[in-house]
Formats: sequence, C-alpha cells, structure tokens
Amino acid sequence: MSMISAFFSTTAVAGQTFLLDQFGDNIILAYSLRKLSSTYTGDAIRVRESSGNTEADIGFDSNGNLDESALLSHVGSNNGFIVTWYDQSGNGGNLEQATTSKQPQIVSSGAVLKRNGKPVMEGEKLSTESHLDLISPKSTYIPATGQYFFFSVCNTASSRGHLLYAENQPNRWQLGAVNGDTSTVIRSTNYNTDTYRRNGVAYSPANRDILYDDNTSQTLITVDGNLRIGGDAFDFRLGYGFGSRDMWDMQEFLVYQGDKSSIQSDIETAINNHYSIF
Amino acid sequence: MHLYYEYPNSGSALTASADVYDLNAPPRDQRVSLYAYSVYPHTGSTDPRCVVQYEDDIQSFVTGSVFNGVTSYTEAEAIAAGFDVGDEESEDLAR
Repeated sequence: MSMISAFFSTTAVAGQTFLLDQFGDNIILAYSLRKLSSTYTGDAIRVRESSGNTEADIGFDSNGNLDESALLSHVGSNNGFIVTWYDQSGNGGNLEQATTSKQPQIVSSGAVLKRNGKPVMEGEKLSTESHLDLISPKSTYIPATGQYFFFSVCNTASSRGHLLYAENQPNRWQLGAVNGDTSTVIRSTNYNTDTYRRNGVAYSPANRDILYDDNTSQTLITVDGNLRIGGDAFDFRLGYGFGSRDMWDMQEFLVYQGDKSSIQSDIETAINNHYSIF
Repeated sequence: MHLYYEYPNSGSALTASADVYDLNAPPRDQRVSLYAYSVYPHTGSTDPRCVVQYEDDIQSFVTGSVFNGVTSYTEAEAIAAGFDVGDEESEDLAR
C-alpha cells in the first residue's frame, strides 16, 4: 500500500461522520442505539441482566453501531433491561429508570431485540408502565418553554397503550396510542397547536387506535411543538408511567431547541438513510 | 401474579421496594437500579398510604422477611381500598 492510499484508508475510518456532525446545531438531548457524534466518547446504554442483576455500560462497535457482542457478553442467555440511555448531545442529560419493573427491554433470552435488523428497546416486552426519566435537575437539560423539534425512531408494536413522551406528568403528554381506543384525544390540550410528521409527511391521526395501527412498524415521528411546563412538577420522560401504559419501542430520540422547519426534511432523510424506514 | 403491600407513606413503601432489591443485586455503589417493585399512592389526596406492587411474572426476587407482617391485598382489594394501582380502564388520558 502506498503512503497516499494508506493515508486515505486511515482517514476513512477516523473521519467517519455521524448524524450530529452534520446536524448538531441546537441539539440539546440526543439518545440512540447508534453513535451520533464523532466527538461523543461515552457509551450508548447501561444494561441490567436479569440473573444476578449486575449492570454494565454498553458502547459502540467500530462502525458506530451498538456493540452487540459486549451486550450479549454481559447479559448471556438472560434478559437485558435498559437502566440508562446516555445523552450523546454533550449536555449530559441522561435518561434513567431505577425501578426494575419499569425498565424497557433490549435482550430477550440471550437474543438482541431488533427492528429492521437494528437493535431496539421494547417498552412492554416484559415491563409494565415502562418509561425513562430525564435525570434531575431537569431544568439543567431542557428549559421549560419555547419551540422544540423532536425526531423519534419508534413504534407502537406492543399490545397495550403507549405514549411517546410526557412532561409535567400526568397533565402534559403527547401521542397517546391505544389499540382499539377510538378516543380522539391523542395529546394534552396544552399541545393542540403542535404539528406532527410521520416518515417525512404531515400527519394528523384521527384517534388513538389509528395512531397505534399506523405505527406498529418502525416509524420516524417528527414533532414541531412548544413546551409549556409550569409549576414545580417539571418532568420529562419517554413513556408515560401511569395507568399501565408503556413507552413506545425506541431506537432513537432527538430534541432540538428552536425552529428546525427549514432543515427538518434533511434531518429526516439523514435518519432514514440509516434506518431505512420509508 | 400481583399482590399489594400497604405502607403508611411513600417513603416507607420505597424503602421496602429497595430492601427487596438489595437482597437480589450487587452493592448499591455498583448499580443505578434501586427498586424491585413499583409503588402506588392512595387516590385520596390527603391519604399518605401507599402500596408496593409485588409481581413475580416479570422477574422473581427473593423477598426475605421484608413483607412479613405487612397487610396485603389482591388487585381487586387494593382498588376497593382506594389505591391507584394503575387500572387502565380508570385512567383519564384526556387530562
């Protein structure tokens, strides 16, 4: 190999680009089961195995995907549950769940759970009322008001009701998908002005059942919305955590502060290039 | 199977849930997980009582003597006693 070809071979690996390398402006929270930034040096998730209940941090392989070998080495033939979903934005706003019965699952009997061939955490594989909470003090990581864009790679595949996220619980929540429930209330009234896109197209589900049915396959949901968190009950979580409703199955969840309408299609395309959803 | 153990307040209920998990996990400085079971409040706004939801269909934990002598309810009994144990039908998603 010549010195020139050796140089480019090396830089091809060292110069690998990730989603936030291109779309990192104004990102405030970034969770994924893949590496999102070349500058992020932490792990993807912390996982509890169900035999001895030991926990281990799981990072990425050389391609920036979840290190499945390390994951299965830790979990073995048991079940594996998400304890922490690390924030890759650089702001340190990790999501955690300290109660074992509410932790979403990522390994079932020694097999990594997957959607479209990629690892996924399932909200209701074995858990009830699963959810992941932003660590405290929450206001450090997400201000209470203002415009935000959310991008989420997710699905509603489990059989019971699900919610994508909730704030200031139990009064402020978004996207309540409930199989067989024709209620037209899919979000708190606080968020009636928010707009949704599904797989890059404007989306207005008519009721909870349709929202559930539309998204049993892997989906990219984009929300253009505003936070209006008031009082002292500031909360932010993936999932709901009340009334036997679990978090959606998730692969990625991004929060941008401010208006991203001019580049939302570009971000959606970049996400889809990895997940091949639509 | 779900059983519900009654405690006088949320603090004592969480302590019981943590005590069970301590019997089944490595030392606390080696983990983030703290609680074995969920805790549910009473629906009465001034009633501080809570119940710990014991369940062995997700994962079986050794409980030792943690629940010895503690009043227990079935799910129907817990609901009848006024505890908000996450009954799906009673939840008001429109709030």
